[in-house]
Formats: sequence, structure tokens, C-alpha cells
Amino acid sequence: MSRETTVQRVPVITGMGCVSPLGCDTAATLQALRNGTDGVSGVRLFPVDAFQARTAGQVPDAIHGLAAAICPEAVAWSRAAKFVLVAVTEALAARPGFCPDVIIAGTTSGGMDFGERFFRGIRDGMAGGEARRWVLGYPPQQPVLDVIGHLGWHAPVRVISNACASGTNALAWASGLVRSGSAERVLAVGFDALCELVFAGFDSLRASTPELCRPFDTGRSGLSLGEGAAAFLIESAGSASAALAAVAGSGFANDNHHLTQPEPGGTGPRLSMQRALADAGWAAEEVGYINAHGTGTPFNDASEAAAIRAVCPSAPVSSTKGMTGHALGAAGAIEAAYCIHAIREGFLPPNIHLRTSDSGLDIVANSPRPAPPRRVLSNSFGFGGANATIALEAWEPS
Amino acid sequence: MITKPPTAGLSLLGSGWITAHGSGLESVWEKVRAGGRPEPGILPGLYGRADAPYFPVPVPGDGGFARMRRSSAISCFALAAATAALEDAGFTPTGRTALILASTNGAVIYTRKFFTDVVDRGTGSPIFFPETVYNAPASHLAARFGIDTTALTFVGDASAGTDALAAAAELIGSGAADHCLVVAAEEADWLVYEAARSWGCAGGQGGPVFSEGAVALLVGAPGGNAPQLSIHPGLTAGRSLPVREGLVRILRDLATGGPPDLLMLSASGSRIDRAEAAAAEFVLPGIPRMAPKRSLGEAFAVSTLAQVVCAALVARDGSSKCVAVPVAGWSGQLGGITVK
Repeated sequence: MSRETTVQRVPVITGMGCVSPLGCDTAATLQALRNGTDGVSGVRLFPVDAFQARTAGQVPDAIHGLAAAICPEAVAWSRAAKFVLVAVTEALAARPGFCPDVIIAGTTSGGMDFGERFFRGIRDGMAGGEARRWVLGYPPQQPVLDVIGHLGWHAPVRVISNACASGTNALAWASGLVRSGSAERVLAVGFDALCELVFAGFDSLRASTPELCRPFDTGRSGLSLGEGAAAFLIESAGSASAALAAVAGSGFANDNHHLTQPEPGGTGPRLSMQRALADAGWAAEEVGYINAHGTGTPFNDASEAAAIRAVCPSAPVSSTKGMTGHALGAAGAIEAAYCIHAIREGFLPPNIHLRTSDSGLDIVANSPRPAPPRRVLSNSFGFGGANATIALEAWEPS
Repeated sequence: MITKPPTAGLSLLGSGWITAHGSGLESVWEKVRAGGRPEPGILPGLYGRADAPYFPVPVPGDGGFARMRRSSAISCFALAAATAALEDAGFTPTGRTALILASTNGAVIYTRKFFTDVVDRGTGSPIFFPETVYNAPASHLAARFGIDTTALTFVGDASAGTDALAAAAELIGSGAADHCLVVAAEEADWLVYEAARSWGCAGGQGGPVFSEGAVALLVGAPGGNAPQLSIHPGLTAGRSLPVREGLVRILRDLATGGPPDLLMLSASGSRIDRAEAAAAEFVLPGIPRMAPKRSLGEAFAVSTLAQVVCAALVARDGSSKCVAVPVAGWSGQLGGITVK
């Protein structure tokens, strides 16, 4: 992505919606971020007796009623589709009439809860009609297709599935399309819903913790899973009269080290942050906050801390995953939304459950910190060595 | 509504495929052109349900790449096709080479095995789970070829193949990469067949026969003597835009610079075929048509890139100057490509 972008083509975010364990709208989310609310609780969606971990960040049950009120057909949709519907509807409220040229989504699991029901159903002799319902809702693109069908849109939907970097990849890719002039208006959305298969997967790897998720704590023992969705309306600055924030740049990197473990020295995270800074044209000292990937696993946090110390050693850092759990393909999108709240509301979200830290970073420990960051980075890293960083900036129309 | 004429351009510098007909570009093409059908295999039905006929592809080895010794078949297919495409182009990836992978079903074999264990035994294998992630094949390929910049995986119905090409055009057009290795890969599993049958897309007389494998394309900036690809941005069909109407719009856009002299259709025997045929007849009546999936089998995103390779081979031997490749996915994701 060239730095020769004119101001007119700077991608700006003109609408945003977020559904996470902290709430189903901006007001609830902001209050929870300010309070340092722990949104992780006992898993309600499926039995967890066989697993080491028993908790996760779960979207409030109010989501079902909210989705049905927007679109009555949504009662039959997958959990992820309901998240996407509510997030996109909130985003569109700020920009009535917005119609995207293209939709870029990020997810790891799509409508996996329906895939699980299909599998159990055929195993248990389910009839064909019921099987059809679960199959139709399962593919990774289907939650977005459900929502754009409701909206009457026919734009192409492109779904990036780059493990836990997917949400940041989607937001960055969508912004790049606006910046390059390939599109005028893009909807970016990251989403994932908690499901048994993925919960069992992280548990099998012993990556999930049976205790509290404590990102960057010296005694951290693993991650809690989460879920949610965040949606962004992205347009060029030249066509927007008002905006929530600008996407100044992004950086991707593969560390090519291991399928599940990060390279200990933090090579991938360092490269993705350095590339995002270069793409944005920022000096490291200008970064006022970093929303870390910070899953709370021993390996991830050590690797990311090494990278941040190398690239932005003085920037305040927090991981919000202690509050939300790790929402996988939705995480980068949700955390970008939190970053925009930080920019606009003048506070840094807290890194809760921190006792002591050997990270060597300026961690925003346990309570929000009043601060007016103008330029922030948000990191997302995933299986396969997928690393992505996005650079977000306060937007002031010239 | 965008539906702009296709403007995203690429040069096709090298191709490789691993199919039920084998892996040589010309030898497979000869069989496809002759309408040959591979020897079918059977995926045994589970839980008392019907068997699934398919066109199997022998799984290549891991190429001595230790990291892939436990990987699912999809990654082995992807690696073999990517290696063949690079050899065809005589190209070694550089720091300015990106990787885009496309898939519809991902590592479905390991996913089914893992979840079967979860359902039956309460827990699954930590060996299987990491390989179930959609981007696992791209991760292995990036490591094998030393690509440390952009490696993205696009998922969707068959249109994931066109999404991957559009992404490559964006990366190269914006100056973020000089070349892009675009790979589509699928592995066959009975669960995919059963899902398609439940969906109403398989199981009837004359319906699609599933297959697997991989297709890889090395692409660069447009220009030069290599086959030229123009990628349509695509559309999503829905209640107010039936598949036929969406394909009419796409075919009209593809024909903007002059009508193609061949259509390389996506027909495989599913219920979508009728809409595609009707759109082709309405927009481009009398233009000859080929449907390579009838010979190669239905392999979703892989099939889309296989249509492109077939089109490029026709263009290369001079028998057609412009081939239009419509793409109609089962979720209603529509796309198109012209190859000149």
C-alpha cells in the first residue's frame, strides 16, 4: 500500500457497531470498558465437564431478542449471524443509506454451531429437512450472506480466514481497497461465535486456562475463549463529512516458525508492527496506545512483549482479553472498536487481573487510564504464524 | 452496486494442478478436452447413510518438508500444485511474493475426525486440531517457500477462487507485491457429500461427482506475452437478484471489450447449472461452451482455478482469443474472469 495516498483517499470509519461479552451496543461496551468489567463466566452453550477450562466470554443473551427485533427471520440464523446482524445494524445507524461496493469479512469458524448440529444430527438419524437448515447456515460466508440478504444488498462478499488475525486482516484489507481506489465504500466485519469444536480444540492444546485469564501477568496460565462481532463502514475521507477515526495503515507478517507457537523472539509481531508504522508514516514515539493481542498464554505474551519492547518500548499497552476472552476471528475487529472508543473518549482500556508483570511494558493495569491517544496500534496474531497490526488515528476533517 | 467492467488485471506466469486425471498440464487438458472421466472411487457412508461416489486424487507426499508430516491431504495437494506452478514459471519466490490460498471446505477430514472424537470421547487430538484451521495449508506453504509478508486465506463457495485472484490483483496493482502465488485446495470427505446432498446440490441422477486436489497459479502485473486475466468484482445473488440475473450482468460485463469466443462454464450437474446455461444463452447465444467440471469433478474453489487453467490452455494454443469464465457458487456468490 503506497504512502503516496492523497488525503482524499485516506480510509475513514464512518460507522461502527460492536457486539462482545461486554455488551451489544456502544453504550454498554463503553461503560464496561470504563469499569474494567470481567465478561468471562461459566460456559452456558454446551457441556464443558470433559474439559480443563470451563469459562468463556459470552455475548449477553439479549442478543437473540435484539436480532429478532431487527429481522424476524434471524431467530433461525446461526449465533454468529445474529452477532453480525446487530453489529452491522448499529454501524448503519450512523450512516443511513450506506451501500458497500464490497464486503470484507474475517472469521475462523463462520456458523460452526450449525455445523456441529448437522454432524450430531446425521449421526443420530436426523431427517433431511432439518439437516438442510443446519447445512445452509454452516459455511463461513453464510452469516454475512444472511445479513446482506436482509439488507437487500448484492455486493460481493470476500471472507478472510487467517485464524485469530482474521478480524484485523479484514479491516486492513477493506481499508486498503478504499485507499487504492478499488472501492469507494466497504463494509468490514469480523465475527466468531463460541462453539464446542473450537473450545475442545484449545482445551486439547492446553492453551485454555481453568483459572482467570491474566494477560502479561508473570503467573499467566492461558487464555479464555470469547465471541462477538464488530462492523465498520469505511469510506474515503474525500467522500465523508464526518468520521469516527481514520485507518492510517496496516502491516502483515508470517513468522513461518510453527503452526501453533509464536517465534519466541517475536519476529512476526515485530515485523507486522514495523510494517504498520511504515505504512502509516508514523514514528514509534507517536504511538499513544497499543491494544495487544495478549491472549494470556505464556508463549504468546512473551513473544509479543519482546516485539513491543523492540518497536514501541514506551507506549502504554493493554490486552482487553482478560475482560472479553479471545474472540478469535472477531478479536481484531472488536479490539479495533475498543481502540476507537479510546481515541474518542480519552481513556485507555484496562488490562484486568494483572498482579505482577515481567513484560517490561507500560501495562495499563487493572483500571482504565485517562489519556487522549491520537494514534494507536492494535495487534492480532494467529495460528500458522499469521500476524497483523492496524494503525488507527483520530480523525479531524481539514 | 458496483458491477463495474472487469478492470483488475493479471498476467498468468505459471500453472500447476493436481487432479483426478493426474498432474501434467497438457496431459490433463487432453483428457478434459476429450471429455474423459477419471476412475471413480467411493467414500463409504457413515451412520447408515449413502456412500458418496467421487473422483479420488492420490495424495502426494509432503515433499520432505518435515513441518507437514502430520498435515491433512489438503496441504499436500496445495504444496504439490504450488511447486508445479513455480516450476512451470521458472520462478523462485522473493521478498515481494505474496501467497493467497482459497478453499471452500478446508481440512474437512481432520475436522470431522476431531469432532467425532469430541462427541464420542469428550475430547479430541491436539495433533488434528491445529490442522483444521482454514489457513493451515497457507501457513505450510508460506514456511516452505519463505514468504514472510502477505499470506491470506479466502474462504467461500466456488467464488473463493475468484476472490483469491481479485486479492492478488489488488496486491500487485497497489504495489504491495510483484508476484502472487494463488493456490486453491480441497480434500474430499464423505461429510461434504452428505452436506451437499442435504442441501439439494448432490445425490440425484446426473448430479455432480465430487473431487479434490489443488490448482496453483503464479501471477504478476498485466502485460507481456503471458495469458492475461481480467477479474470481475463479483456479485451476491439473493431474493431480489436471482442467480440467472446476476450471471447475466456478469457475462455482459465480461463481454464489454468484445464477445468471448468460448465459455468455460462452472456447470457440474448441480441445480445452479440451469441458471448458468440460461444466462449464457441469453447474453452470448451461439458461443461454444465447455464445462471442465464434468470431466474433473466438482472441487469448489479448486474447480474455479481449474476453469482458468483450461481457459489459459485454450488461449495459449491459439484456438480461442478470449475465453469467459463465469463462476456460480452454491451459496449464490457469483464471479467471472476473462482469459486472453
